[in-house]
Amino acid sequence: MLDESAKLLDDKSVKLLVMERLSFLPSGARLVMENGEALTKEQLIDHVKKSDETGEEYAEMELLYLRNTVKRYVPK
Amino acid sequence: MKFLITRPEFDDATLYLSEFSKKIIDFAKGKGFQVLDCVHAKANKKQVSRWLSEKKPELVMFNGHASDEFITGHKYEPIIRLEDAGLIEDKIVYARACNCGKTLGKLFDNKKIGAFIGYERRFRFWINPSFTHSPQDDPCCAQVLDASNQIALALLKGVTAQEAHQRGITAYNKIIENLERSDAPQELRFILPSINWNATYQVCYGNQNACL
Repeated sequence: MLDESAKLLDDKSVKLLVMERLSFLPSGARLVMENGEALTKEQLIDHVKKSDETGEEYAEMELLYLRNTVKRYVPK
Repeated sequence: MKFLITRPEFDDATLYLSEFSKKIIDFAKGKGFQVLDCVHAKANKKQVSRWLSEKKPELVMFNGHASDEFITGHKYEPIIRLEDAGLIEDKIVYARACNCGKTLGKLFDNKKIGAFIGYERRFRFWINPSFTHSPQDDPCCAQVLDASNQIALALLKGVTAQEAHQRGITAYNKIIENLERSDAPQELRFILPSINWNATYQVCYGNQNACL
């Protein structure tokens, strides 16, 4: 589990990685949010750029997936 | 036996969850359950509380927005707060809603009868707005919502809460495995982090052996 207190997007390389991955999203896709909104690729990139709570959680989701992928495919 | 389900329908998120819940309702009816369907405006606190206390459903599924403090129904009306836990603590509950696992769910931790399956963080899924007229055809969400449906379907089949929880995680992991194959369609790979997220933060509290 990731450290929830850490600010992932303070790390410029993480921010660039997340924004790069976001750039490949299909234009029609929307991420459903708890307040009823559904965020576009451009809106998500803005949140990541601003390093706000939504951007930070999106980065956490991406890094969690990448770390679990490494665990699945790379032997210890 | 009785199965209560909440299906608020007032935004894209709740509309999609409601639509995908129809498969669960059909299955429950086929198995002979009396379905207490709190759909649309019926997903309100008065109706839900009344059916929980009077009809005493053995299985409850909440769809909707939620927080650490409550699960909401139609138009964000809180229908179950932490202080209402007594209404559901002897039941098997699946909450397809954000965050409520870490507070409401944990209240089940020392219960000998009831069980709670839910999410400790946000429940994540993607949609494509061009499918809002037919959510079940939306490829962005169909796999993840069908996977989460497996939890309710397993509970209706009579498996234990722990087994239903595990079947949900297995269904998520199966999607990940399929989409990561080299011959899988690349255009859906962006949903992988959200599926991994839901699988990671899905929790099961209470009596792990609880079943119908």
